[in-house]
Amino acid sequence: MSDHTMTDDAPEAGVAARTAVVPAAKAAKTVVVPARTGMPAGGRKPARERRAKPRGGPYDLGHAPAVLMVSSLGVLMVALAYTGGRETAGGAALAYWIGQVVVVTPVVLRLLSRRMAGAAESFILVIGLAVNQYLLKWMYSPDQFRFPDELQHWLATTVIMETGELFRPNPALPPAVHFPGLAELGAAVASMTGLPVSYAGILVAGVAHLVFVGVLFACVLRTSNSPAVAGVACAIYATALHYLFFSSMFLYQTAALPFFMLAVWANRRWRTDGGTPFLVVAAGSIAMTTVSHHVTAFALIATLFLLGITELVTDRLSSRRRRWSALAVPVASLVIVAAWILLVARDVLGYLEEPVNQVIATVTALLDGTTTASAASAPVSTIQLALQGAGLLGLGVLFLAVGRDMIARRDSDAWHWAALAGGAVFFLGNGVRFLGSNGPEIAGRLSTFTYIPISIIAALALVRAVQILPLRDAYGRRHWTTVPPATPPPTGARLVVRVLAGSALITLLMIGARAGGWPPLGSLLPGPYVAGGFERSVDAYGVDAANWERVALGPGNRVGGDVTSVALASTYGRQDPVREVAALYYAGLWTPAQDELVDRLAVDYLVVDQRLGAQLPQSDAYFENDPQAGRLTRPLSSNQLGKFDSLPGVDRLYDNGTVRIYRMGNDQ
Amino acid sequence: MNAVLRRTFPYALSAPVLTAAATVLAGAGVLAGPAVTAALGGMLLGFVLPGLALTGLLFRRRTLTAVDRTVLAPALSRAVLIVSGLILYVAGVRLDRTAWTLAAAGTTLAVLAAGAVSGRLRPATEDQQPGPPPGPFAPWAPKQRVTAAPLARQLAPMMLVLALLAGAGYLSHLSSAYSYDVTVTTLSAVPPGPADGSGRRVVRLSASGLLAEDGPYTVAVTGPDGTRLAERTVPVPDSGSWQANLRLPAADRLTVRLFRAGDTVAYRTLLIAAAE
Repeated sequence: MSDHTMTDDAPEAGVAARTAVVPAAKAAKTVVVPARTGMPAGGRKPARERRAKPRGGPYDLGHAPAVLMVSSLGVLMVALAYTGGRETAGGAALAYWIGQVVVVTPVVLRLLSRRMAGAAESFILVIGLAVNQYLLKWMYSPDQFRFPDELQHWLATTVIMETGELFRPNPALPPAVHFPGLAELGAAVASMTGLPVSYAGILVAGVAHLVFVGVLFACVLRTSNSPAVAGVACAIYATALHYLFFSSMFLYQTAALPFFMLAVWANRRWRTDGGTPFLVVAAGSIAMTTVSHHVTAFALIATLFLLGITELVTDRLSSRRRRWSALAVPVASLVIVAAWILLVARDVLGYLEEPVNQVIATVTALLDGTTTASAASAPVSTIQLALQGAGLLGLGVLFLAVGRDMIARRDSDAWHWAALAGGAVFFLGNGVRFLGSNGPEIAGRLSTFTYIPISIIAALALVRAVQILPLRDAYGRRHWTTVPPATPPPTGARLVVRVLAGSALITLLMIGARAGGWPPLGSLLPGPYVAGGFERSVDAYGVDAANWERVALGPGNRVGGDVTSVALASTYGRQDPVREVAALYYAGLWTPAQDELVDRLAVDYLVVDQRLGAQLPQSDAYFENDPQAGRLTRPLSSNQLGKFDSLPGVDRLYDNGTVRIYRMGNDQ
Repeated sequence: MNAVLRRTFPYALSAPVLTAAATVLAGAGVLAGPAVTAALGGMLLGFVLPGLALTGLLFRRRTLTAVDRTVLAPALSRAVLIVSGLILYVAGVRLDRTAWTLAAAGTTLAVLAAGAVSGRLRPATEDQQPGPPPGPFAPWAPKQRVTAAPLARQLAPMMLVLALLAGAGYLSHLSSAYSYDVTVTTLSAVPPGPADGSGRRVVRLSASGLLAEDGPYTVAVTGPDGTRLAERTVPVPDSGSWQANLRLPAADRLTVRLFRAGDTVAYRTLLIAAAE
């Protein structure tokens, strides 16, 4: 592929030689297509000839401003949908979906149109799309963090602001203590700008999000030598399951992702162009990734090794001299990450042990044919499955087409093979979602990284019009494994069909990601309180209770409650969260078993939200480690919620009509 | 092929000098200016200037595309903040506004100075001079230089884009704040202490979120048999909050109720267990 592909966004005919878009690009990446001549009536130059003159000056943004204007209308529509959701207005959901499509699809159509002015237009489109999509995330809760994980990092940042020190304990998320990158950034920006931590956090996460997309664009541009491929790859990546929320939230992964991508970019530049500056940037990026997020650091090691090994293998297969220096950066990343984990962040191993063990146990159970509660996957709606399945099928077809094409052309570009291998891991990773109750989350988090290569592969297929089925030759034979005859890129109706099909696929992927990503389908719109609804469960009543805990009780008490109460208590309330208290709530009667559990967990206070008795949890669980998860058929009863009032040694110290707080220690 | 356009500027208008000036102004804006300059200066020091200086130093003999430079500036700025924070922490410096600002601005100026010194000690040879930005970002031909009309044609829709996004953001912010704006009326007690010699203890009661239209409120304390032990009328102050210390029997389990004016059913209720 690399030896025969065309620059795709330049005019499709009449070009005798095309300019490489990056200096290191080889001349072999261009192809000569005979020009047609002829002047139509009217004296106007034919379109092909007009297009033969490359457009685009240094700041030619092409139609990007107009396209982004249309896309921004989608943002406005989603804003209206969110407002409608908060006021429970009818039609808000429809406006949301239309808005989402309007945000994404015009940009994708333009990126696939083969008429772009160049890298400037493609880059502006991609960054504009990233800005618009970040706004979609921000507008969900623009005035405060509501998602529990964001609140945990809000606390870490606030602690730095208050103490002026790093590595202070964070009971809400202990492992984050040793990965202070995000909190440092938040504290620095909040300190210097004077903005509240919430707004500084929104800025930090937003800039990180944009930098990540920008570096992804630069990386793919460097690899593919095509602004269109780079743009489409970024647009496809924007349909990743966690792109709009977990990769954009004020979370430590968001801080680490730009450095992850920058390390890959710098490694690429070092391998192709050489030079110490790129090596310095690569090493620095690895270090910044390491001090920002553990899982991203592990993913970076895996990615760099994949790139290094594929380079060695392709060198060998191409009879080129093997350059063992390909492994220098991967080995360096391994050393840096290992040093940080072993010397500073030892606790992270225990933190990551549980989900890994769960996946292993689930796989073992599947192989044994046994069933356990934790092995059961959360139910997924048929529509959601159909949408995501169709999207995956589309990606699978493109993956196979590019793979066949690379084999047929004996592609020797290591990065193409690495992308193909990464794409294969993406499909394998999708299987993890069926492995236990944490499967979907692990699969989603894995896809944050594996969706990068599959996006590149799909973009190559869509932009370069890789034949899904090889064309027949003059004898009617298809060349499955031999180099196919050179074909000009599609034009006219074929081009329109390809652009529309590509846009439809990316739009479908986006819809599938929104439906299966975060927030859950039932909470896509902000609105009134929902039990077990994470962001939707945070309202003035819960926050007031948490603030009372901080002021009246002081920090560090052991506080239990439902998912939201614990999240708020451990952040706004500065309490030590107890997450294993479900049995205390589900018990209809208070027995010595409950006393024993209170003792064992050293629970000081319990938060009881009366609304748990009015709604089933949207997330299938009221509590963390909920033994009834997915099996609840009715809300908690008034007996279950009210039994604490009858315990003689228990105080009810706080009541706001909705949330009550009980002190459990009197009878101990 | 791309035309090579070389422009010469006075040294005072060169990128390093302008970056240094912006750094000093941003630092001053953060440390000594009003809120607006602090916000602008803080963002420049947090996301732009250190990375700009570092990119200039690291890649002074390299040709980078505009895309590369655009993403490197904020990426390296973020790295500067993280590394600065770690170094300051190890050095025992308190991480506050002054420390962050001096670290970011100091790093930027130090990097710019290093670049200047390095340029004087090892001036780049002709073939090491960075050329014009390659690829589509480069001028295609001198006649395609930026002119006012095309620039305005491109910027006008972008202004509209900004207006649309600002409108959408404002609408969301407003509606979110409005939906969250609920007065929460609470009744609470600080965990009571042990009993004194007379068998009583002080219970500190608080009520907040009191509404004038629901007042005056009444707080009533009853014993286990329903005997009313204390009662207070709670006028609604401007702050909407009320506090009182009541000396109550420690041996009994007490019920504290808050009533709105005219209510016979308690609006909020606390239970105070007997002291052991």
